[in-house]
Amino acid sequence: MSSAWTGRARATDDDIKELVAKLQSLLPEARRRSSGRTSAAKLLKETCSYIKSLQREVDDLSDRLSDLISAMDDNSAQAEIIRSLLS
Amino acid sequence: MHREALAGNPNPSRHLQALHFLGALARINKLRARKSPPSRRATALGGRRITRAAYAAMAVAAGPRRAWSRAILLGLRRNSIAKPFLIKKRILKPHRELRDVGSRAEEMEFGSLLDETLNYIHHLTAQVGIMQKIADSLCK
Repeated sequence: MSSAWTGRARATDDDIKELVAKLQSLLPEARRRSSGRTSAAKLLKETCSYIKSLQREVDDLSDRLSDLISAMDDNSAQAEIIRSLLS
Repeated sequence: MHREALAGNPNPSRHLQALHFLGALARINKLRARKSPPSRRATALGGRRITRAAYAAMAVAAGPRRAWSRAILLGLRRNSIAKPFLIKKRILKPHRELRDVGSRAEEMEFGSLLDETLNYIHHLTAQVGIMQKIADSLCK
């Protein structure tokens, strides 16, 4: 979505419903309420938790990549990175 | 209100994100090679450098049109790891927290906030996927 959005009129209720549905579909299975109605506050709270867990994953993967790269000698690390680029 | 604008923007810039991140990784690796042998502290710092590279890649891929990517790009210039969303641990008011942190001082309308959040999640999950693939290929 372009930044032109912020200059436009407010989102309609339908727009918001659509966005909320999209958000709900992104949340992990375990967090979705099967009983249908989720309050906005709950949805936002779960969204916050989900984002936090994703950010934690990025941190963990960063540490893992750091270990992996330092464990390899210079040439093979560069080679692997380039190989990832090409695949 | 354009219908296509509500798509939540399924990350067509994934390639750019991956390329940017790989480039940063190669640079980090070069720096590390110069300072061998690596100390334990160096490895810990390396992790943080990679985290910064991850968020930079996300922000570049998303472009300057997003409040969250702007926040990252500005934060990186100040040489800190910027996590525009969810810096506070306690969620007293999720709506306000997302709004305040995601939009900085700007007033953000709820629809925009949701859309920004969706876009941020898309790029975050893309980044996790990219890093996972690289880690797997480095393991082989």
